[in-house]
Amino acid sequence: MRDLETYVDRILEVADLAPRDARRVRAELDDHLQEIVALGKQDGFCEEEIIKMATEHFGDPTTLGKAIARAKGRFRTYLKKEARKLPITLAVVVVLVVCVRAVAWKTFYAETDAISPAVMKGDRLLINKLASDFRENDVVIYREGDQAKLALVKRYKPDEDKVLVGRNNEATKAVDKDKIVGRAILQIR
Amino acid sequence: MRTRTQFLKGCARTLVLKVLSERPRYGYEIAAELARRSERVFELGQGTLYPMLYSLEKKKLIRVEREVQAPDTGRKRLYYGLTPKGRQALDQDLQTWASIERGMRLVLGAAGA
Repeated sequence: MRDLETYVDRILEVADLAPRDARRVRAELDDHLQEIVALGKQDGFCEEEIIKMATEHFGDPTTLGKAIARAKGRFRTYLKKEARKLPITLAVVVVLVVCVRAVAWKTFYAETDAISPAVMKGDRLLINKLASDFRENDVVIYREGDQAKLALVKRYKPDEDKVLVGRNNEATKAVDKDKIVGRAILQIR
Repeated sequence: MRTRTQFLKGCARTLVLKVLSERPRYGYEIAAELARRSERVFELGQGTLYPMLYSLEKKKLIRVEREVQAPDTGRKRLYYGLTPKGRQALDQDLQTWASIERGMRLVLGAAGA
């Protein structure tokens, strides 16, 4: 019976179905072939002959595998396989998003008009936390106590540890570079 | 030989639908029934039956009515039956066949058909 198994294996290998379909098809083909074998035994043939007859009767495994793949729909099979991977894909995406947010990007919601009209109250900003170079009039977020505040860069020189920032109605002040959370790279009104 | 195979395949769909319209059957049973009733004219490579069943299933003309585990061998058997859409398709096929048969008979003469 080993040969029959190899024969069915070959069909399924070519068909390359989604696991659930593959199990079903295997059960079906096995059942059919076993019926032929049982009949052959009744008629007094030896096992080797029967297996040869059964597989010849059934057809070339490669052709059959391809036909089954087509009948099941290759695109459907692809989707079924992908659907199985979906939970993992989603988990990876979530982890990536969490990591990126923790390391590189942060969203910020402007609650005040502190630097209007550059950023108006209610605007949403995407902050690049990895930014280390600033130019005049860049929108930045800096930490003051436990607050994150919006400001415009007034002056920055790469060799200095402080960034000069300004807000409406407030005196310009020098903020430590490591207090700067990041620079806005996207703004949505 | 190739044309013959193609020709038989075209007819096989109608015959499979017909055999399943009588009662749900499993793969081997369908193949055996077709071979027996057609006096072995429709004994094409039995493997090709399965691609046909799967594509009929995909088109929602047939569906698996029930799964039965054979008590003696423990093997699982899938019984296929017609869906309402499958019955419609069978009716259409039968009408088509009736008109083709009539046309062939008329042209070839009763003796040839």
